[in-house]
Amino acid sequence: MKKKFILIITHGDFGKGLLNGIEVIMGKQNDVVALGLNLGDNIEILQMEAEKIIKEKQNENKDVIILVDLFGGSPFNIALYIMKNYSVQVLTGLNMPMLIEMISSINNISTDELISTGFEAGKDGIKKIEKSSLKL
Amino acid sequence: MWDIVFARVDDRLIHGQIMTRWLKGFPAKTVIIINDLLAIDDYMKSIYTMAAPPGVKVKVMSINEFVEESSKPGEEKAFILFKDIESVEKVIDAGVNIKFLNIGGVAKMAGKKTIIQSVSLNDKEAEILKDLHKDKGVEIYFQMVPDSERLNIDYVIEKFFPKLK
Repeated sequence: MKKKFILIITHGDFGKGLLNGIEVIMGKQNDVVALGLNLGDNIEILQMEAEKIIKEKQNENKDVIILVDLFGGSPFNIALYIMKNYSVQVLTGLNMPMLIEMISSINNISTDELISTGFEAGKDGIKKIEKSSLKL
Repeated sequence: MWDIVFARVDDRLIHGQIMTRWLKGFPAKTVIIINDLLAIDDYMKSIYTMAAPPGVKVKVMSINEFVEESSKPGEEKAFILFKDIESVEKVIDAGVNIKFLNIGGVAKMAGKKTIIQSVSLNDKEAEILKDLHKDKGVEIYFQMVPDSERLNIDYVIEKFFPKLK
């Protein structure tokens, strides 16, 4: 099974914080890195930083998956600029259920299956809880 | 001729909810990105058209294309977006009438002064803006989103670039 690497790109420290939260649950993660874009940051510099990581991981023969927080946001734009020249896959709408499921299965299933797993887990992790469904 | 409802410089162009928030105050069905490099890059064009805010059509044009289109008859409302300040100068020098210009995003770099959190300028950019204001009467202000701090060009030149006065 080909090894995978998850590169998170988000607004501000959202991705780093999310990863930090996940490490509380699942322990230290070596196959995930989070980059953040802040106000006034140069997106070209962040893009170069991301590309450096991708090259390194692809040289280690890993498939790289990029997770971004918001469809249409700057981290999304960066991921798509990268997609032009690199063989990577992109998922938007990063959330905790998505990342937990992907980390849990990271080297057990194929890259395409991992993407589908993240996509479904991200959507299924959102629940509306009605008080009426609870016994009080 | 376009009816330019809003003109903005933002090196991130269309991103997140930023456009949507400005579009609420300055409604237009067309957003035009004016940039020579993007205009010849179909891949990059597709990124911005894909992520267009709902109900809005995104066009990407070179400076020349935009200037040419501007001279045609018609009054279509357009929201225009530049990646850099130099392109604004070229468009105005070519005769397009821009009355108001919002500077919303210019990344930090060594040697630049931070004006508002999302905008940093070097001397050359500040001088272009000063000239557009003084010589062409363009009202220029620095503001990231509609409810954030707003600074006008006179204040910014006075405070950050007093030598240019």
